[in-house]
Amino acid sequence: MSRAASNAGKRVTRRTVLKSAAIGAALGVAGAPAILRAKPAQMVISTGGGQLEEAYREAYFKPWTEKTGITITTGPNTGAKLKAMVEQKAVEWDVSQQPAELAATMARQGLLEPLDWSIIDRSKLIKGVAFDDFVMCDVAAYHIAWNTKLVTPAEVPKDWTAFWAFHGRRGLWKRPYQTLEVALMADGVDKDKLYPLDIERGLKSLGKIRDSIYWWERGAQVAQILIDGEVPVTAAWNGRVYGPKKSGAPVDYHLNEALLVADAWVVPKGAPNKRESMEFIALALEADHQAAFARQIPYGPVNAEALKLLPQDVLEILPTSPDNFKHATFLDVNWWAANGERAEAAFRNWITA
Amino acid sequence: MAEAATPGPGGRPWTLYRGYAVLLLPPGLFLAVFFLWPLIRVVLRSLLEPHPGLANYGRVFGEAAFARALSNTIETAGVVTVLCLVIAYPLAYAIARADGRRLKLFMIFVLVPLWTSAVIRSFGWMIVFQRQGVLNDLLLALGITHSRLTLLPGSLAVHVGMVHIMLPFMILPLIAGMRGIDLNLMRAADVLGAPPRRRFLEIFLPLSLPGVSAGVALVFMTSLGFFITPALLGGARHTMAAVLIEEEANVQLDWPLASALATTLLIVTTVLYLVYLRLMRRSLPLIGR
Repeated sequence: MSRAASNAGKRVTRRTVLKSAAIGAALGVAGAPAILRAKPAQMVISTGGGQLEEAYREAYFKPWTEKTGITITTGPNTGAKLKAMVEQKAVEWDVSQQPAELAATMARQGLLEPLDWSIIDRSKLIKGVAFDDFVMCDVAAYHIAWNTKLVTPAEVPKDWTAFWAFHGRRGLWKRPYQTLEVALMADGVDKDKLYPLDIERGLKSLGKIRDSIYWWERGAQVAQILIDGEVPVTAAWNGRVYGPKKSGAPVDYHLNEALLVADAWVVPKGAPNKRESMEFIALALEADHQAAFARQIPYGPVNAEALKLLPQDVLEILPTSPDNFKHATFLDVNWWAANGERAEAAFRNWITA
Repeated sequence: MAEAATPGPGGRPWTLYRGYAVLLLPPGLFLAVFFLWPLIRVVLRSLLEPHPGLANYGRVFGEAAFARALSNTIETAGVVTVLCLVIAYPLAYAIARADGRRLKLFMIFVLVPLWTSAVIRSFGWMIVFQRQGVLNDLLLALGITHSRLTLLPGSLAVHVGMVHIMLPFMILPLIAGMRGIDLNLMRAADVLGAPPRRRFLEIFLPLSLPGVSAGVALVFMTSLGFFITPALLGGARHTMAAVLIEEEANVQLDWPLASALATTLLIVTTVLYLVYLRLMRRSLPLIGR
């Protein structure tokens, strides 16, 4: 089916090109190449789906279609699929949303198109979000959360050191990313001096609370064990606990010593409509669209101007608003892209022992 | 399959058999293109990238975590298979002897759980097993325990969750096998004076073993690739091989290593299966004919 579609696409393109060339020749237009390039009727953007995709659709996809007439279809953003498509030279995706550390790994393996910074405006972006081959688009936080029925306000761990000293079971993500960082903060490493990560020290720190760790693997899982009181305190992502908190579940969280993790836009190498891909990313990073995104889901914009468009009650919950940003720290995606394999091996050997 | 392609016994015309063999062609081609060839590519990748040699396997065997995950995986699959067999056998026996409307009703009960995804069922088991969960409430109310047990994450939850998902895959081949047994044999034994216990042990049980063999293979092989249930219900010690393969394939994008891990799992599985077939064949000359 996909082959038929691409054949059809080719035929249309060829015909369109011939037609435009004929018109171009007839009119004797000097700037023929610009006219020759046919605009695609649709683009494919892969995302993580769910609420996040809904927010993207409202904030970015709809304005893009209004502006350009190009419709957007979406699909799941499996990292392995991107690699397979690039290797087979059969790329279906124009743009993909990926976790930033995975985007960095993809960039290292040469799977991504370099971003065209002459089309995308980086002047308004906050520090540390723009890279050669990917750009962060929204920022979430890995932070301390607790069940308000089981933990009194006085008992709430104010930082990771207190979280480690907490008496009771504690939830942590069963991955070295993010978990090693908070283990190091718990052990007294300054939040701004985490990198390069001392893997051994991080594991030793985890070892101190080993028997009382509840390892969770999925975002939906951590929300469930926290709401049901299976763990009184846990590390969690704000996107997973904000909704339940707002709808009255006994959960709360703070962003002190939060670790900032991001989604990023990438363009797979060999993407079919590169120019439109760049233009889409440029639009998605504009202040008003970024602000519209943050109104729907509590992930922080990366455009500093967008923050100025948002009211105080929204800013309070966003990881990148100035008040929250100064108590938090960014996960270093480049460190993970370079050392992820090593950290992963050390972690799995430790955790299965 | 091999028998169908070769001339049959008794000098019957071989054309008939070749006619059957042609029927195997479409699925054979399909499997060759969409299963065998990708599988060969996985094996090749593990041997050729990034450099030709056994370096990827050196990493697999050099790291204790992979060996531990592999033995966890085999152990978990083994326990689940045994539990499934113990639960499914009497159930299948009862269903196989039912007929008409009752048979349909039983079959619906067996098949309905398959309509719900494993993810949702695993979340369901979380609610059952948690400290404030249904099971703890029940145990306390009945006075069996006096404080809430911590069952999550844990082996019990993993095994129950997996058995729940795999049970139909054991029951169905068992029923198929048992319904093929000629009950006249049992009647004949009865007439000849064999007590029920002996009729079962010497006639029904051996004749039901091909079904057992199929069910055990199906459940064990599928359990080896389990992913979401151990992830949601199990703890650090329930790290399964599939989870590590996924991590390497999808997150680290290290496909040569992921391929080496997958190939190792495949080889271990094949060896276990061959050993199992051999044991079954030796203890039961009926199977394999």
